[in-house]
Amino acid sequence: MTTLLIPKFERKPVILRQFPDKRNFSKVSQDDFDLVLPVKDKNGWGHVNRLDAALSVFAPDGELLRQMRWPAKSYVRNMARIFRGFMGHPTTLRTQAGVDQVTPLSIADGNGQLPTLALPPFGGSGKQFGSGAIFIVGDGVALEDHLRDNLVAPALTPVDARQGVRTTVQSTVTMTLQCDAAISNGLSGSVNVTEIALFFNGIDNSSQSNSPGFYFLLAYDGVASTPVAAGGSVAPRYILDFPV
Amino acid sequence: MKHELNQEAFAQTEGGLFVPRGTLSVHAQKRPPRKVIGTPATMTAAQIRSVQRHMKRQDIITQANKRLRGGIYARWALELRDDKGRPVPIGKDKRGRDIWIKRGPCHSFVQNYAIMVRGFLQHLDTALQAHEQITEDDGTFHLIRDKSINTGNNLYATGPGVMKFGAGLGARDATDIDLQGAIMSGLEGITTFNLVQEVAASSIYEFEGQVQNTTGGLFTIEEMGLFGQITSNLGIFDVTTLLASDLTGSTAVADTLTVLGRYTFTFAV
Repeated sequence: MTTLLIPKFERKPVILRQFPDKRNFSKVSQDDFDLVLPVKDKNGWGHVNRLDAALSVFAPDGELLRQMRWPAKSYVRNMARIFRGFMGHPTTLRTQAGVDQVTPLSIADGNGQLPTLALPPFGGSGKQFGSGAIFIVGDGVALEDHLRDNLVAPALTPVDARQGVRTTVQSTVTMTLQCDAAISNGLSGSVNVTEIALFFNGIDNSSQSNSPGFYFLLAYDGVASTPVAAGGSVAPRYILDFPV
Repeated sequence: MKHELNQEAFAQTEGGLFVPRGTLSVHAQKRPPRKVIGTPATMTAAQIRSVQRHMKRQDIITQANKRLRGGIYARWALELRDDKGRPVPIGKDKRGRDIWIKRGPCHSFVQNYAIMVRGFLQHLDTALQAHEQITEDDGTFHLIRDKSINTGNNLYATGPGVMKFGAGLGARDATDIDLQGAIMSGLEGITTFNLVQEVAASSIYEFEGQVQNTTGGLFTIEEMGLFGQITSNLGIFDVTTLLASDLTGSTAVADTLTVLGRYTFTFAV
């Protein structure tokens, strides 16, 4: 009896990376995907940090289907205002709705407060996204705009997942933070993800613990259309590197 | 056959040369007199500020819009002033011309800065009540960003940032907490803020700080640093926290002169 050997079909994930100053994505190995690239100055200007964005797509059974990584270039207005808030300059942030919101960042000694949200712990209420920074992905398309306040078309939010910030490198030459979340597609159909955004929760200057809070955009990136099947999940990530 | 010059087709320069009309060389063309408003020693303070603002703003905007794409960039600048606030040359270039400003790329943001960003982005967990820890310029550890959000002690950056200047020459290290050779016992110059622009392509702003030499003698600057003034979770104010430091090259500062440092940030899409 002849035994027919049928090769087992293994679907390998597609791993893509866009390198600095290149327009197209290249297929790379997992090692090259995680590779830390040297940071370059720009014509007499030094880098404050390197910001990379990454997107991973998983099938409903948890199998990694696709990974993409590219140099992010989208710190928007609010992030610039917060950075200057570190230096003691009063800061007004723009909310997701495009409204100027006075925050108690950096006022008189003893009164300066980070915009932190006094809400129940994450998961305690189905109505809240949670505190700290959150990711939202969307399926809208638009030019990258430093003055953006929101995604073009928000689609999926991490209602049931916590955003995590991890320190992946801390040395005498650099410190690297990794900020990511896993977002499930609970809709009945596939979603084509074309934009990712990092938001933060804030409180107004009333400084009350029961303040309703607001969301404001920190970083935004457009991405080539990436389908996420119903039941699948997508994991956006921002990598912040602060090399000397 | 006598050949005569076509007077309509040619023009004569001041030096007597005949050239086709519309093609006068630069050397032959008479330039309009250059408008001179005086040297810094004779200019009024208002004229000086006007020229500096115009040159600085245009230079920043032009460079940022043309060359910077994506991310955050920064650079430092150094200038000297006399006791009347007038610019003083820092040195001479190769041709013997006065240098009025020194600039360089800034990329020496140290761990304190990254820790502040991390503390800002961290997901809050009231059960953990964890704190971020930064290091003051004297080596003292301070806890910041109380994550127990209902205690009323959620304190972070307060007070204006400061700038310091030093004489240290060592390479920068991400774990630095102060300048390597702070001058005048670490005298701090309170920074002022200037928003250059905030448009669809970028946000550009500056922090300036200055220190006057009152030592009675000359000192030489080799480094400058930008510090935040943080409040700890115990309510300790003005914790001077190094955020960035840079080697500037040697700059001699004579007695009574004021050294002015500036950090310019660009956030570009």
